[in-house]
Amino acid sequence: MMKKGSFIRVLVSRWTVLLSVILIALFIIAAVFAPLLMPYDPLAMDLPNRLAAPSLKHLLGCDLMGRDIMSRIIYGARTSMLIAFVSIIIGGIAGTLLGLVAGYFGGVVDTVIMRLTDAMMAIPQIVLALGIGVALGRSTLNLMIAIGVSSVPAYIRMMRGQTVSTKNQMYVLSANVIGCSDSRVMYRHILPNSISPLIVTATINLGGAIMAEASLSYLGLGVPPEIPAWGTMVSDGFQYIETAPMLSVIPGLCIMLVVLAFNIFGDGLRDMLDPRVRGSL
Amino acid sequence: MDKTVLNVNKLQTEFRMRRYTVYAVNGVSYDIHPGEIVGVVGESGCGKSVSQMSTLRLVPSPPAHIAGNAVYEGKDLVDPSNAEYLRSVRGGKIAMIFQEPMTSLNPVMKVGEQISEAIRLHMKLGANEARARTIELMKKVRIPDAEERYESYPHEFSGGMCQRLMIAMAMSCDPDLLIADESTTALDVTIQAQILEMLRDVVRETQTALLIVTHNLGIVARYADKIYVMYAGSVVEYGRAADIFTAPSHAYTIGLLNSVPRLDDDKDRMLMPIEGFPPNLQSRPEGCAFSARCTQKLPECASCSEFPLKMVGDGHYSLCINDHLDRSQRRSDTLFEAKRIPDETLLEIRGLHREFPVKKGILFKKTVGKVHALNDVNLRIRRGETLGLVGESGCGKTTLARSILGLISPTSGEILYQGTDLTKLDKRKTREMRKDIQLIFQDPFASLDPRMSIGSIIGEPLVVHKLTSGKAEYLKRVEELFIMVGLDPSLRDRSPHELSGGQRQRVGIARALASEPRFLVCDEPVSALDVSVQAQILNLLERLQRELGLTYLFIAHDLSVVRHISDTIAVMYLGRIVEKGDWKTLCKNPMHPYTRALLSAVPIPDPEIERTRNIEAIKGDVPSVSRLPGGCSFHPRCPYASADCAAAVPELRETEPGHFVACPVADAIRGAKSQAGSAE
Repeated sequence: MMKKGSFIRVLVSRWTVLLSVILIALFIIAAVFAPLLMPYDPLAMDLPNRLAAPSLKHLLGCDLMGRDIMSRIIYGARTSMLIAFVSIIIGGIAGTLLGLVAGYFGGVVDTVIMRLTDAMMAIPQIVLALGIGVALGRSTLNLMIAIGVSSVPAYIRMMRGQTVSTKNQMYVLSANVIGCSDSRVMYRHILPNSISPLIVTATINLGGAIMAEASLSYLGLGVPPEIPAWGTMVSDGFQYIETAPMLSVIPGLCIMLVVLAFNIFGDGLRDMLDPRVRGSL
Repeated sequence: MDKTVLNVNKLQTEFRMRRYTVYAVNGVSYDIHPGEIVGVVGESGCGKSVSQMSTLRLVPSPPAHIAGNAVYEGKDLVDPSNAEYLRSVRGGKIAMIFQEPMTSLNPVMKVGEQISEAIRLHMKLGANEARARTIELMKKVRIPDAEERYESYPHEFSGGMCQRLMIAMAMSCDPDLLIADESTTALDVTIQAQILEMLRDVVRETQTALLIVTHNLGIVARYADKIYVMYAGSVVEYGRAADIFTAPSHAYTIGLLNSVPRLDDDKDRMLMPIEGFPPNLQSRPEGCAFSARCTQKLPECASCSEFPLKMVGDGHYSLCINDHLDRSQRRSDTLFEAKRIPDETLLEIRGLHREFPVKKGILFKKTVGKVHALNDVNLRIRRGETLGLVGESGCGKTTLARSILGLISPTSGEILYQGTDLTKLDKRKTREMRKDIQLIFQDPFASLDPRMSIGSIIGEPLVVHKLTSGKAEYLKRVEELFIMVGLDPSLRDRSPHELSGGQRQRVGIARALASEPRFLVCDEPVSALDVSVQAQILNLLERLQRELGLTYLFIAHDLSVVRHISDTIAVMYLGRIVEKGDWKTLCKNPMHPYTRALLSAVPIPDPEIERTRNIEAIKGDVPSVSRLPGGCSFHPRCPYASADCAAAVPELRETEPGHFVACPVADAIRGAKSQAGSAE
């Protein structure tokens, strides 16, 4: 493992990564402390103020129903982050375990898991998530499951590859020789030595999950309409794009910034975890 | 005095990194004359390679800063203003041969074209002339069928053949100096002997100077005229080869010589390792760099600021200020008590076969042939003894080891451990059996999990087999294991990469011993280690065997190591045991031509003995096990082969009590030898 000091040094030496970390931190703070930070109830309608322009009272103005956009953006961060993190955890854990098992045991187990993965990969991710969403019904939990499951094949492929190469290392043979059980070999020896590329991918995929959530919400298949979400906000405001562009532009901008920040952070993380690149930083 | 080829004077190389500086070479001077073979020896990290690379400016600069000079044909190669000149010399008049021949050749280019490309570049010859010259060179390095092999690709050659090609390429421009940097280290002993014999003949013929950089003292004893011993970036002693070996005059040289096992040793000599490790050279050493590890140091050694080169004989110089060095290899405290081995079988292997199918085809894999990795292997190991198993790589030694551990299931045959057939055990029982039978790996780095701490690596078997109850007992047992293998228990929380090679191998041994096994399979446990560390590990294994009553199966390709540690030796060739017997009879009186060749391929670090030795080199490489020669599989390489040899597989037969040989002509050879001996 690398020392903490050098980790921070690398972080500071690359300002884009540092900026992305700050941005992600801001959005996470907004998501966690949403109830405290919101100036208004994001659901409270105030019809006299519909489509109000930004003012001191409403920093980003109001939407069609006179709801405060600032509050809705902050609450939307909470929705997006929650869905992104939970779906990545669902997809990541399932994918890692299946990939580990497929790569370690090989043979029939491997064939069955990998052919199913191939089948899933043939379906576009958004269509898959859409199908799962339709089948399970519309709720935040089902959306998380849908996005999570649709990301599983990528993790399986990656983890299987990692496992197959780690499996042939001498220390894995050594673990077998001292009499470790299969589960111990997988859990104690292969997993810790294969996980770092997966963490990087998961970080980058957080951006992807937010995109998926926004896309599904835009299509009306995301979170239930009563919960503020960035995707829904973009789609709601879209009809008024000429008269009140802020309605769609601001949530759209948030989506873009978060996705970009996660991608840059993921790239930086990969460089920091890779000893070959780390030396040259 | 004839002219010198290369004169290196006060060469210094420092690597100035951002936060520290490594003083890799500290004032090295040497000169080389035409047709001379010079050996540079020392442990790894002593600046042997860096000093050679620095003379040719092959080290990356920055961070490297090179001072001093290296004069070739009146021009200083180290001087940056001569960079243009250096480029014309490097690879042409001064050529290098590296350790890894396989990676130095471009895999997608025909080998002949690669060599002729170099020739055309340096000698400005036309395509046809270059081709003719290439074939001539390939013949010179003894590549059979040079004309046809010109069109082959690198993967069609064995490692030894690739190294010949690299030598041909290095020889292509009639160099004045050839630098062979550990160029035979990765090869089998027999191939190493072939290559070095060839190289010596070629340089003698062409009056090329040859500089051999190696850690193997036997090689320099056999081939070098002059030897430079390096330690911590300095030449600590140099002189003619005979003087260095008969009258070593630096404590370090003596230490090195005492730490290597020799083929002509007495059995009970304990190796005398140099304790500790070479300094890391991040600061210039104060006083004598070796004083920290020296057993014969004087009070002034650590403080004295300057060590002048002292002449100790004709052309023999040393940096050591101790004039009364003890050169003896035998001390009463360094003798092991003799082992008493009861006639009680611990492990018996009966008729063991292992075949691997060879598959071809992309979509529908068909079995097109079989590889016989093990072919009717019979062995018996007594409780408390060490059985040494030798053979070139690809002879099935590792397959045998893994079969015993149950990592590979044999095609047929039995492995009886205290009466239980290990091949018939189910998965759970095999796991249970691993408490009793353990393995020590060759590569101590790759076999330790990089993400685990040393303490948990050593303690893992205790956890897996639930051998301790409670945290306190576990910690106590782990500490015991640390002490047992000579490791400091405070290293418990370190990661494997923070340890040196020798420490890592100790960790590997402690881990293997944790479950208190009775039988240890040691698969090349010291071949990745430096000589001084090798001696430490061998002594540790011997001590542990006596203390814990262990039985070893010791696998190695280095016969001098095997001979040192083993009570019984079995020689393996292409999956068959060709000769076995107790170490004394087998080494004194080798019967099988393969054993004889193996023994004579191992150089003895003593030029006097080397001069009188008759080297029985064998032809060619180990054939692929997928195309086994019929009859005795050794007959295509055997100098004594007769027509009968190709006809039938020879049986192991007892030629004298406890000595078995599978060779129909063994008696004839012996008869011829003894006759030749009496005629002299």
